[in-house]
Amino acid sequence: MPPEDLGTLLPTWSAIPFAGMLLSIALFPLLAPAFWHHHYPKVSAAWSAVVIVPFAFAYGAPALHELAHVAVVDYVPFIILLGALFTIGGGIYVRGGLRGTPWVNGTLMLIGTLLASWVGTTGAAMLLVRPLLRANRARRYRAHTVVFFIFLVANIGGALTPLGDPPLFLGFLHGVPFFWTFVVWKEMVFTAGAVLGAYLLFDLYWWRREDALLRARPAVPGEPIRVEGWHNVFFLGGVLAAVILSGTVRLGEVTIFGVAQQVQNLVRDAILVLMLAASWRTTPRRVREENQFTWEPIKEVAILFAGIFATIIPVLAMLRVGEGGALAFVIRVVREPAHFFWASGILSSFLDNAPTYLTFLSTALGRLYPGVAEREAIPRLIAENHAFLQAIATGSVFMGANTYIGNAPNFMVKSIAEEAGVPMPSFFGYILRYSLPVLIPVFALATLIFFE
Amino acid sequence: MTAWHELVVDGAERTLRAFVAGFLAGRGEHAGGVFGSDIALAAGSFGERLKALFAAGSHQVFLAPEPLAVPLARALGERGRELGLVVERRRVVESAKFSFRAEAFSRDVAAQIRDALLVTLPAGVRVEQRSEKEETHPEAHGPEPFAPLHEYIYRVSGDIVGPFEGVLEVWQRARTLEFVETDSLHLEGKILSA
Repeated sequence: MPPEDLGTLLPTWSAIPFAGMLLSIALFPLLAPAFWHHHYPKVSAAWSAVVIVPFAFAYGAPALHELAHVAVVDYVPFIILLGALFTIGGGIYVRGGLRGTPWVNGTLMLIGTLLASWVGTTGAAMLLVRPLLRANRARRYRAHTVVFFIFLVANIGGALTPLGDPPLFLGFLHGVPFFWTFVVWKEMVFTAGAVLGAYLLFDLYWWRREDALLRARPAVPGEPIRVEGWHNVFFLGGVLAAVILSGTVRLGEVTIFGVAQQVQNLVRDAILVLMLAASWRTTPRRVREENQFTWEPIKEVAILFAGIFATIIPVLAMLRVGEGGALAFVIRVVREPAHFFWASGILSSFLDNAPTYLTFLSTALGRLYPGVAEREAIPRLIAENHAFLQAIATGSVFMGANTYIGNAPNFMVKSIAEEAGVPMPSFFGYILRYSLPVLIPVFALATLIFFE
Repeated sequence: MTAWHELVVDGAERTLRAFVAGFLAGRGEHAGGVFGSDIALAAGSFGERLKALFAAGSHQVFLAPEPLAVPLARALGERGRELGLVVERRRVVESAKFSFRAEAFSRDVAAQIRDALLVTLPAGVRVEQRSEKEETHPEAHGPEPFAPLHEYIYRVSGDIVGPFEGVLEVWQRARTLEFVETDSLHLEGKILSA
């Protein structure tokens, strides 16, 4: 039974474990952080089991094939890429003292925004959040700086390449060409420019309210800026080259657990593991200690994404068959690129953006090319209806910034800032004081300019 | 500690501020007392809240130490009416109180909060309903994107109670501390006269 047929058989409620998984990731860190910290593997395993066991019993071999397909084609390469970027990024440490003036902060955010597409939003945030916090240590008004850092570096900046944000890498794994993502450069320049401009206005306002002594230029210059572990940039280059290579050469196909996998993808993954190992071996321990590097983030991603990828299987299958599936109502509601921008964006604001991207990519394919195999449908989507994919990509990446739970690095930056003594706004304070007045008007303008 | 008096004055705030500034200048003083609108004063009973709602903007509160409050009230009684200022009520503030709570994630910040709100208190000021808790999670060291938990958490709450002057000092201190939330100041006192 092909997966498309499976999608017509599955009932709506088979999407419940996926919703439960995403809601667990979104809500437990807010409502029960200690419980979640200690028990998230069990929660992830429980939601996965709720899908896998009955799914395998009811549909037998096609269900197991779907599971193997998700593991071989999506999950393993995804974890390897994130692991490589995180390990290499965690080997670079920016030392030195900057002065947290509006222009210095703005420049740091601009660098982070540009960097995020190449080292990932998590990597760029980890690299720059501590220099930013050190630069602003003496300032009284600094929470807004961290919030705009989350907007720009931890989210919007990741829109340009599949290395930038997990949803785009999932798109790449599903057949979106590496360089296609560059087409959103106008959306990104507009959005990042508007948000950075708003930040400068905010920070100039608060800077004028800082103590006069702080604003005065110090007589003695601070410690000069120095980048330690800079050789990791070469390993980042290796990652970039390997990912581009896998999207441009064809080396044949092999079968793993009954799933066809391209040889160039296996070569890519091998190179990524090699880059990870080389970074680990060659970076002094001291540099990693300065970054407070641990394997915990990779463990979290590996465990939680196992749950996400397991529970998303029925949802994607139902969406792929378009109006023939139980999720036809989603296909009927979301029709235009602007709808896709806001629907993927609003869901990405509260749920993880990687599965949201996949969900709406499947929705678009189900709506425009129902029943057509994904590897044929995606090139047709890009050639004939690219605005849909642009809307999904930008909506998923940009609107992850709307809440603390929209994208994984958001919470990480919040925690690091709080531990450095910055009183960050509450969950609703972040939305009411920053997302609604700054981001939503910018996204509304972006809709009018790019998707209407 | 000197007793403080609360004057509730009917009239425009700017006029009262100008009157007080002139009065202080006449006495050769630069500062003394505090305006209710510069601090967060809690309305007392339901009746007082209702009254405050209807009289919004026309009733001003000024708090001052007795040596200033008594002659000021007298001066307002003598010259205030021609400026539209009428002392409606005067009471001796016998005690003051405010509630606070804080949650911090760094030992340095926790030490600052503890010192400012629990340790170095002015004479006569005490902490009631005190609740203080420290949690450490050594396993939560380092960045965590999906299951964030702070390695160190300090939670404290309580009521600062005592003479108005000391409580006001702690309240002002608390307002400058990050991670600390404070409620309005409640005043208890004995009404003297208008």
